[in-house]
Amino acid sequence: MMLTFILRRVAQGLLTLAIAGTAVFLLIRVIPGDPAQMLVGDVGDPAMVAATRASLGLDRPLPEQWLLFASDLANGDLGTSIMTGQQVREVIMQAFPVTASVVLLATAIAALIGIPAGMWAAWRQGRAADYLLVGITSVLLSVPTFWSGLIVLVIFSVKLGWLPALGYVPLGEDLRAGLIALIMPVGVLVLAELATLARMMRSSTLEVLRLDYITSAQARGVAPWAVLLRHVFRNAFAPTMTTLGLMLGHLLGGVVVIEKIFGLPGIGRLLVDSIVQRDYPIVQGCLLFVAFIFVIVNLIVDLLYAALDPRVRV
Amino acid sequence: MSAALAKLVNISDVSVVASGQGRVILDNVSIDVDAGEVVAIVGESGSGKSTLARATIGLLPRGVHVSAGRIEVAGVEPALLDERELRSLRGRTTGMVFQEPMSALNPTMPVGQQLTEVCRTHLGMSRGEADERAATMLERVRIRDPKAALRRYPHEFSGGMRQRLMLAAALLHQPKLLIADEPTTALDVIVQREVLELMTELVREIGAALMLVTHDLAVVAAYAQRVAVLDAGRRVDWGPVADVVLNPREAHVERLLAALPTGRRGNMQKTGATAPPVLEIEQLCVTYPGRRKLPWSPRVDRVALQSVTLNVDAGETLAVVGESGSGKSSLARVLVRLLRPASGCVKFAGHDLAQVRGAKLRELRRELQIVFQDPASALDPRMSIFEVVAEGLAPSALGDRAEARRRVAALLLEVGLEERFLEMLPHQLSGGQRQRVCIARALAAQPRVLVADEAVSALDLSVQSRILALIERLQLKHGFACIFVTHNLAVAERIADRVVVLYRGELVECGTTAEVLDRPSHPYTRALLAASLELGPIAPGKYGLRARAAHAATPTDSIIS
Repeated sequence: MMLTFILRRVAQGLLTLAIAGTAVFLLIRVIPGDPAQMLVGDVGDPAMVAATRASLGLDRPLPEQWLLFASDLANGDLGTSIMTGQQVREVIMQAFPVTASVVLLATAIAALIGIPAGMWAAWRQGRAADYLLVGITSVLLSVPTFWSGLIVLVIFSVKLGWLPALGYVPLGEDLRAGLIALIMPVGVLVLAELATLARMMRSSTLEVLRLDYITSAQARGVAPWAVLLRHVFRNAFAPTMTTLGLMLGHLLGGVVVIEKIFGLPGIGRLLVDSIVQRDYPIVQGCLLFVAFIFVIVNLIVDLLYAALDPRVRV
Repeated sequence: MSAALAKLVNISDVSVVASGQGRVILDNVSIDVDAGEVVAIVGESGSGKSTLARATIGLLPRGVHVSAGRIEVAGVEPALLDERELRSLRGRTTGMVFQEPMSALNPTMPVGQQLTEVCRTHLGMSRGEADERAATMLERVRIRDPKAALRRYPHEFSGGMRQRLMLAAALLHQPKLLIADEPTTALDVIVQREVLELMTELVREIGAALMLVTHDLAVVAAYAQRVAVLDAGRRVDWGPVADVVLNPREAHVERLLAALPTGRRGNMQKTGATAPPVLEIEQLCVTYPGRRKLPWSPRVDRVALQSVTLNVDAGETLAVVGESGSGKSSLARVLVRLLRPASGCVKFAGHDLAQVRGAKLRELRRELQIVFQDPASALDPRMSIFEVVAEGLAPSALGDRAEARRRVAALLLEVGLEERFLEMLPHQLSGGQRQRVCIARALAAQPRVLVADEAVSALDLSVQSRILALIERLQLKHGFACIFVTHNLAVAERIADRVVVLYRGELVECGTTAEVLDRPSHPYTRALLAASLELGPIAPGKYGLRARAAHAATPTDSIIS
């Protein structure tokens, strides 16, 4: 039963990827601007542009281009950058760990703080702890990252000089320096995610707390921590997990503002820079990669659903 | 303390208020429960009966608290205990069963874990010991293969089984007091009887007292020794069942008893023998699509109705009786074409409903109206009562607003609501008033068929009897046929000319009310009649339980008092 469920979800994921891939393929070819012209530059030699176009395969009929695209994709070949000639796959693989380390770290911290905080606030609904959480999260939700990022930067790097303003050190190279470089971007991202998760968890916990089986557990004399942990969490976590999945999928595709502010060479910056430079193979590669990440994360969320709730396992 | 010690529960002069609005939920209520006794708390919705039960173990909802009086359980006062001691009281001395077996068990936790939670927390048992005890208990509540059942999840059990699981969970630690809050209201007649029998039997076995919260006076008469009657938070009567219910001395109790559905509708006009039936149902099958195990494996559909053939005459009332899952709601829905049959057909005014579409369908649908069980969710909360009812009027009537208003006001008056309700919103009305609005909306289209799908089962007894009388009166005046889906035999008897019994999707019995209820032929109907608990007048001012004589050929019911 469980295996059928997993297989079905994987198949759905593959289908989603195929559709997203085709959409990206079409999108790149529909938008104005000729990459061949860009590559040649302001020379004004039609023959040269045509030759470049032919070398890129852009002169062939669309279905043929699609087949070519699909078979390349199946081989893991995303093409080469028009600007630098680097393999697109390599470029993405360099940028992704940067984004991933910021996002995964921030999300883990936000979840570890936000989820228990949300549950606790719901348990204490209408009392000081609850009002405090609702107040803090309201403030956090209304602060955009481009603003909080700059403020943090000004305070901790410019005024206090505690942390480096720019620069990224891979964690694998120098763990200490790498972590120090991540403190500010991760911190800013945590603040943004925390509020959403805590709010989400609070409201779904409130819903579950109203149900008979919670009263029933209390009537059996089960302690508050056990009620929250054993009875509430698994039933209330699903909506938060969905949000968490969407959030992760979204953020792993690039945290443009934070990457820009703190000078991190992540996916978001790569994508924006490539769009400006009309480096289509990279744009295409990034979009495909983002779609891939989304499908993977949501697949994991779906499987976790089934692990949490026995009724989902069909 | 000697006199008080004998009492297991002693509630004296207790008042409970909701602190936010300062609303008084219980006003100066006193009752007591002896060890091993069955005490019923009875009242209509909003009377405070559940609050009283919860207050007993200090389990009041947030913002609700005891403002005066004393509650004592097994010699201790829950109000004076700290959190830990209170939990220990709940885990050792008391057990509680709730109304909704569907929602009283945690869906994400195996049944065994939920059962053994108490013993492991409060009696310090090891997992093995607790499992052993739980398995024994499950056997006693007649769950098959108890060891395996412990590892299963709540959704794998039926409603009746879940209520038995709840019972096992509440009795596992051998409490001195079991509190049951409407434990069988959500169950089918036969299952309800089984659970009640089982509950009282087990409680007797372990020597526990039972505090039974219910709205059902028949249940009180059958199982309780003493009863407290609550009305709007006040105790209106209290004493032995014989004095309070069977020989009522209080006006409020008399009113409750008078609202019991009793009597049988005289078989109405037999004159229409020549008139064609208004609905012809032929070989009707309804299925719900099942899931495929694998994308390529065949779909296993669930059959809700299987070759049902039935005619409904113009102007008659047909009761459809059956347990949950018997297909009675599917039948109701397919008759007004909210569902399409998988095969067979429903003919209305010569048209096969499944074949009609577009403007013709809309025209026919106006003549087929339905009233649902829950009036709260059947009304759009953002529409005023005028808008709700006006929707049922023919589109041509809507052009002139003053005229539409006049017609809606007239309709509301027919269902007993004054003009001031026109601009109100549904949430400002009581349950009974909302159901009246639903009926007015259905009448607005001047239907030839009115389907009532458990239309009175969510309502209090006194409201129920008024709505039943209303439907009867309107039917006499307007002459529509009424298909009344119900699980309550007394209601069926009271309102119907003919009764149809559905069992697992099949029509097992169909006949006049007298034929079906007095001379049932199908074993299921007999079981249903045998299980139903009904209270009725046996002499002026005296009430008794009526046993339906399932095999008797005489139409009169035999009576046990």
